[in-house]
Amino acid sequence: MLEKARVSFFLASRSITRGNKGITIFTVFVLTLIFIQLVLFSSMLAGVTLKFNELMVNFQTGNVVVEPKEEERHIEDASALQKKIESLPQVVGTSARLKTTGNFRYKEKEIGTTIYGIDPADETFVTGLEDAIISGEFLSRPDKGEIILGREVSGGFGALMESKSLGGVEVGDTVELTIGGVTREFRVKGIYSTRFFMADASAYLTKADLEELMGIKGRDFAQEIAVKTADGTPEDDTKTELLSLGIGENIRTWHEFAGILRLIESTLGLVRNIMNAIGLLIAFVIIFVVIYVNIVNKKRQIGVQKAIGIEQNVIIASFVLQAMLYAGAGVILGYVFVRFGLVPYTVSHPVEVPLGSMSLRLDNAEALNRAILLFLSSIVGSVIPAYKLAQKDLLDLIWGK
Amino acid sequence: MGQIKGETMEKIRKHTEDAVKIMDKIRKQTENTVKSMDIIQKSTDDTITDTIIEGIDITRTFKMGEVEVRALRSVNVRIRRGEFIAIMGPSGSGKTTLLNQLGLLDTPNSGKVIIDGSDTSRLSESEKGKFRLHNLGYVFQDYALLPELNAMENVYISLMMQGKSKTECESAAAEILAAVGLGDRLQQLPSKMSGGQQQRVSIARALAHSPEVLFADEPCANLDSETSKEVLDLFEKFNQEKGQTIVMVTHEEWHAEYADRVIRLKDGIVQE
Repeated sequence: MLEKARVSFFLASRSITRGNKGITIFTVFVLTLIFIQLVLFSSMLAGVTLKFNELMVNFQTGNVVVEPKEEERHIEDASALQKKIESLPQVVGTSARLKTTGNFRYKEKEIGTTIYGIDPADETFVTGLEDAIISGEFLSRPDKGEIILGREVSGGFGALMESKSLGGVEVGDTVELTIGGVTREFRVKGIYSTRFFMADASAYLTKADLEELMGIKGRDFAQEIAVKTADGTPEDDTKTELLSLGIGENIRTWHEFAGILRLIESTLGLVRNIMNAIGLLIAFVIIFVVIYVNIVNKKRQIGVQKAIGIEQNVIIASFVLQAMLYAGAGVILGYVFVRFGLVPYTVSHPVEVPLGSMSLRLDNAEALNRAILLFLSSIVGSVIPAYKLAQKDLLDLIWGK
Repeated sequence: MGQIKGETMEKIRKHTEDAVKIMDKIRKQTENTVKSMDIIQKSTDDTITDTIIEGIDITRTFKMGEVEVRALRSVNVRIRRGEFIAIMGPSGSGKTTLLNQLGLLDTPNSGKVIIDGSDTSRLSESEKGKFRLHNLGYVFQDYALLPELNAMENVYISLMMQGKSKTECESAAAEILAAVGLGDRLQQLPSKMSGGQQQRVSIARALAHSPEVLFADEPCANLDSETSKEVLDLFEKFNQEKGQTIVMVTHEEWHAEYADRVIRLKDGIVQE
């Protein structure tokens, strides 16, 4: 058994090292491209998912969100709770927000959206909203009667749902806001764009203004407290520690909070699996054709090998080993190209997509999975033609028929 | 009366003496016959044990489209151990077909090939492969070397397949390549060798595992006269010095002069 494997490996290695260099380079090149294609799509989707996650954390929820208890509508004594949360060393900042829905009116247009009442100073510690201002300025604590709008509300600035916006509000314009039957005019102080549709379809005003509109002035209420933690802190650990502080409010990590993102993630996962299956099928066909052509050219050699007594399964194994070595080289080259070339390049030169700047993200476990699938394809793609040919009549092979 | 009686007695004595003489002659002749029978029996026994290949009633038919070509028609051949046989005949006479049957590269439609006492018609394809690996060697018209293996590797590939160690393989290959005059070209690839050199590597490959029979199908067809002579001299050397049985197809009369015996074929029938 071992000597047969030795002969197969010997024939395969000699065929690769001393065979037609053009065929070897072409085969490895094709397999490298196939591997890159298999990995790249996953990396792109992983990059998109990661971007979604970043946007969610950076512009909406922070890492952990504290919400009212099940049966209550508000968090009471929000400032005290904020201080309690901020006692944890990993917490970078907290933002107690009032959250409601309201109707905007500007000229003939009217839209409903989510309104947040925030302490602007606290908010800057939790989200990157201040940096997302694309026109005008961010709110400041003493502001009164001023508001900032997401681009999906204001319209213009490349809004994705322009027709459902106010149709081009600009900084300095006045908009009417109605909450719970109370209407007030607000001057637009700034317009922001996070490129995250969910975040851009909101508006922010100071907590004091919203308390007044909602008729809860001086009650120190909040609908949610967004908590930002230091980079690299696992959200579940923070949640556990908050619970151990005796906080009875509903605590959710951003991932638990963002149900829609999980939906998008699983949809993208499904698309990725379908694309992978198609990619593998294409890979199998290409491997089959390349190896078949290679083997057909060696018909006479196979005949001579059989004539001098080399066993058929040893000959087949030598071609399968060759295909596996080609696949191995393709996987290594493809991995090196993606891991040390493409991924770092897109990190330093992010690709601009509607979501924002996106870079590729290579998951090693997925890359290993694709490598195994490529190996399996190369085994099946080489066994079939090699077996078919080695089965042929000896004289037909020798005569090259 | 007494005189008549004496004459009669004398006649009887003479006849008796004659009868004894005749009996002696018959006895002597019988003894000679028995001796001759013994000699014939011994000779027959010797012939049977010395036979390395016996082809019995071999018929091989090929289908070429709708036409059926009978390449061999009930061919019977017997080749003794150590013999150098040339198979000759005009084109299409069935020379190569006969070589392929005797060398187990093809299977006859009927008849059988017995090699060293083994009836090969009972062997499966994989058993035939093993039989070829251990017992037979081949030299093809176009050398048929594996282009990706160097001279030494081409020679020891079948030894590797037999399970020999790398050292054994290399020393055996080096020895046989030296014997064919290529001791200084062990690492040379076939593409870097002349036709004659390639054919010598091919001979070394065929002989490396000390086969019972070496089959050569027009080994000099692609070589000039001088190189052909070198190759045939090699065959002669291995035949005479090592007692190597060789079966060679050729269409050149002067090649056949190297052989001990010529099997002539015409239209698939042995003419010899």
